[in-house]
Amino acid sequence: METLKLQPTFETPSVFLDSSIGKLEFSGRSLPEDTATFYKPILTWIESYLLNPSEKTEINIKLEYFNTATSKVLLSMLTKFKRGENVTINWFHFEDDEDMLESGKEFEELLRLPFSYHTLD
Amino acid sequence: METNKLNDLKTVYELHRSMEDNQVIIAYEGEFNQVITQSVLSLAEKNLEQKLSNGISKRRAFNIAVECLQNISSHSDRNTDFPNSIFIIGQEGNDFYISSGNTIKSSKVENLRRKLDQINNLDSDGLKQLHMQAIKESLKSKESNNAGLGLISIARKSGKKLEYQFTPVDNENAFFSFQATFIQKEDNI
Repeated sequence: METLKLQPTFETPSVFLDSSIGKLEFSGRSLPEDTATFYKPILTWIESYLLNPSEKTEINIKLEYFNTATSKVLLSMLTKFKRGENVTINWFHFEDDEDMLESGKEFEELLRLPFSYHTLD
Repeated sequence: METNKLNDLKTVYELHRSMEDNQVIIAYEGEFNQVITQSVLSLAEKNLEQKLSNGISKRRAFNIAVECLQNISSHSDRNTDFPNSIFIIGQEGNDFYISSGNTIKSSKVENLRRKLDQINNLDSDGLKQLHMQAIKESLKSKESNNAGLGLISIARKSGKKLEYQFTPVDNENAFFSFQATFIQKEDNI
């Protein structure tokens, strides 16, 4: 399966999806109004990845900022992963960003997947 | 009614004075599309970066600006009779005012008013609950309208009541004026 790599723009994050090591990483910011166009290829990639996933999947969310439209698409993306499938979500936030930490906790509550929290440098 | 055209040069000065008096940092009036929204946002971000001293304040104020601008397009129904909307950021000391105005169908007024009043009646825990509920519901529906979620997010970042007003334009349309206040967090707290 091909690695999906996207460069960041003013309103979209940098994306790195590598099936061979089971690593999915999003970093930067995500604030597009039209999330469907940007996230469609990512959702498609994840659907095919889940047909034959790596033994262990690590999802790194290193977003400094995302809009509410992105929070919806992030949630629907992460609901594709099920508890017990050896998935870990690493949620990154700036040390002073209590809002981003709280967002992570809210996602954790909604998803019931294992989350671990880290600070961004 | 007499309208001042911009070719009457007095208008330029009057607009300038009025914006200075109202401590306007950024104002855009006109049609909004993706390219313009992005340019206005980028300008808003640069100004807020300059005027706010800490990271969390910058991110919160920028968040309000993003949701406010994206609300304009989600509420305005691509209204072809009244395509123009307005977006303003003003500052008075540590207080920032992020405002928008756009024309919506009168039939949408009551629903929007209910949503805004519901948000304004909640404290921060209540807003968190409402946000969780709204995001769960948004997953179930195919509708791409996140107007509700956007307003909740603005209220959470602002920490102040949302201000709004509906002004009838004609039988079918109303102008929706909206303002969120953001108070910069002091560095030493």
